[in-house]
This record gives sequence, C-alpha cells and structure tokens, in this order.
Amino acid sequence: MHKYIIFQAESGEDEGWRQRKLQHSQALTFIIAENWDSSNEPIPEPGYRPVEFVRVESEHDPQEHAHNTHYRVSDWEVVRVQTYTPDIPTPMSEYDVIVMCYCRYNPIESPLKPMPKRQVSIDSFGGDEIAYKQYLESEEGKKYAQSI
Amino acid sequence: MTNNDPNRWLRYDSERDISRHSATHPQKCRDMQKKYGWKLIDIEEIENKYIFQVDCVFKGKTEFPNYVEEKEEE
Repeated sequence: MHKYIIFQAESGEDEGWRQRKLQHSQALTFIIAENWDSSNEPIPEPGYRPVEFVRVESEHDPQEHAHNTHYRVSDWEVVRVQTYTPDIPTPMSEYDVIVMCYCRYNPIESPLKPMPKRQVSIDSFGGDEIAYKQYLESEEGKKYAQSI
Repeated sequence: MTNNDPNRWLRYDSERDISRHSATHPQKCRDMQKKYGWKLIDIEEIENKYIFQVDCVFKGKTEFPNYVEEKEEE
C-alpha cells in the first residue's frame, strides 16, 4: 500500500511558523514533514511523533553529511488524523491513501542521534548497472591512491 | 518473506532507527521506497556534490547486499 503522509501544524499552533516556508517561493506553509510510505507500518495515530532532523553546525562535515547531522523524535505530536482515498485505485493513482496528520507542539526530551553512514547501491543510479560499476571502480581507485 | 521472494536479500527492520542511501536525483528516493516497500522520511540535497545529488533517509534499517558481488556469484 502506497501512503503519502503529511504532518501539518494544527490550526492555532503558534510555534515556529515564521521558519516554516517553502524555500522556492518563501510562502508560509503548515507542513512540518512529509513521508512516503510503502512499508507495512500502520498509519500514524494520535500520540505518534515523526522523526525530526537537526543540523549541528559544529559537527557538520560536507564529505559526510547532506544538510543535517542528527535526528531525534520530534517535539510535534499527532493529535488528529484524516485519510483521503483516490477515486481511481493504484496503479492509475499515485497513492492508495493520503494521510493528513495534524500536530500540536508538545516538546519532549529526546536524544540527538548521529545520522547513519551513507549506503550506495545500483538503485542510487536508478538501476544503471554501468554507472554503478564505474562508481565502484572509482572508489577502488581512490582507495588505491590513498594506500600508496 | 519467503525464499522465492525476489527481494528476500533485502533487510528491512522498521524498529531499528533510520538509514541513508545516496542517489543521483530525488525521484530515485521515491522509486526505492516504492520498489522495496520502505518508508521514506527525508530527502536532503547534498551540498558538496560529486556524483550524488541527494541523500534519501528511510525509517528502519534498510540494507542491500553488494549487488555486483552477488551477481558474479550466481
């Protein structure tokens, strides 16, 4: 089942609205996070908290990190869930269900965990076996150059 | 997951933290999520781009075996 899950700030929630903007247009948005879920996990229920990503500037290494360096359980908590199903079923529709999770700001103590190591596979190249092999060869070449 | 399942070599454990895969385009994150039945929770642009443009962040421990080695073993 393909689920598109949107976490939005519940109306009336005042926390951080100035920082929530669509970068390309600078338009304010209520969206806190988006998830695309084809796993067997059930849809979120009230009490669920999404994962939040954090950039600790002093620990950011551009070789290792994209934007964020850490993650934690979010301060936003789901209070209300609504689901929407398409008129036409998948695969004609992109998703089997769209899940709107309305959240309130309810800070908790949760530890910062470092982002895991990157993995690379043939799917990183959209299944392009030649590109993947070239990448592996270039990595081997780098290792060899470092060893001499 | 049975031995006949073509994706049997993939490991997915939703209880175990998160995992990160690099990709050359954000759409490839969504393709991986759909193809392998994963939960995509973040897509981030890589600042220091070389080959890869984005990191795809998935819920749970998602792992691939070494595709090339597996193929050569067959």
